Amino acid sequence: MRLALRRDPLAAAIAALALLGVCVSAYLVYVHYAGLKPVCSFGGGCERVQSSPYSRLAGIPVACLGLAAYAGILASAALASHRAVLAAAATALTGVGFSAYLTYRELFSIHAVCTWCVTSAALMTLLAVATTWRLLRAPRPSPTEAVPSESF
Amino acid sequence: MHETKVRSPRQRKSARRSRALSELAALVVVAAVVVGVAIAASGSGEKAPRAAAASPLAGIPQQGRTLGSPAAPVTVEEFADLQCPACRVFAESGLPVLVDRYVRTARVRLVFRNLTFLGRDSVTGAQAAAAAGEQNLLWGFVDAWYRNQGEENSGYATEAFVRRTAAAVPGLDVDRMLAARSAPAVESQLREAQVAAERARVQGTPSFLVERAGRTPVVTDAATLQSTVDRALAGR
Repeated sequence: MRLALRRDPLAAAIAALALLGVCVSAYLVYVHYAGLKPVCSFGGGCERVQSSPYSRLAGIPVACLGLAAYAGILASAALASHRAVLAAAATALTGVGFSAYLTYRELFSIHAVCTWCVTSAALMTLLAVATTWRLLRAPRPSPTEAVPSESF
Repeated sequence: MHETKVRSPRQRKSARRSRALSELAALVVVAAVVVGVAIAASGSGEKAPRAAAASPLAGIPQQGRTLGSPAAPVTVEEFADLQCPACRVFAESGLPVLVDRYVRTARVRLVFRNLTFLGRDSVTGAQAAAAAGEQNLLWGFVDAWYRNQGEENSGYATEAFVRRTAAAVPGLDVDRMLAARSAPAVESQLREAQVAAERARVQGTPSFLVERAGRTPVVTDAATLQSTVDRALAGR
């Protein structure tokens, strides 16, 4: 297993963003299960968003899903294997798609904006860009640079 | 038979780029499918609004703790505790019939008397329901509460539960409702319900006080409510 953080600044940046994401989502998971009102700036829409029907996906609080996604990206950032890079990009792209959906719901269904959710959406967007970049520039695990061709 | 053809550095670079872009395209498609399926399969955001839209109360005027036309000749006061399972059963099976036959036709108006004798969760629910009444959405809140009612005195009525329940009521300003729970009007409404229950000698929940001007009010239970209402409407 190769560790990438020390040698790859991009991997280190991904880890830092994912760690921030873990903190944000862990806070939201905590207030959800503790029944607390989240600290919120800009109009106090966090509580309304967090208690809306859109705050769950298949019965699971979306904050929990976010925590799992950020933790997965954080773990994969430490690895240099192609599979880890691929998994991180897949998770971040899925996360950014779901963040877009939730932001749409905030604006047009709940009519409230949660600063924690916006922060998470921004982090996930940055992670999607960074993990995609890492994927595109990563060496491919092909055993040979040759391809078969028909002989005459 | 196959033999290998060695590529030039430019070809190798082009092949790598092509493969990377193929991977990326596949990832984008997979991510879009996962997000789409997750949203469609869960229907998380749509469930509560749909349930509320299908509510038997839809389209009926609410004012404070009353439901139905103020001009209705008969008033039915319902004495209930939001923790009471029998009250939930009545809300699910008896109330829709009562509403369709009598309230929607402006013959009966309902008044909710929120009792809190079962325990702490009852008080939490009653305060929130009364606060929702400040926005004329008490009946919608009560309906949403019963749909999510937990085990009696299990401590399920947490702040998060109240928020989630309130968020399922279309049109209810959740923050305003939460803030209104400590208003003096909420406290006095709960006290009035208690006094009314004692005056009517209510023995359990749900109980109903059927009133018509000029007639002696009658206390009844869910089983005989309809016949009692019919008699009151007939002036008997």
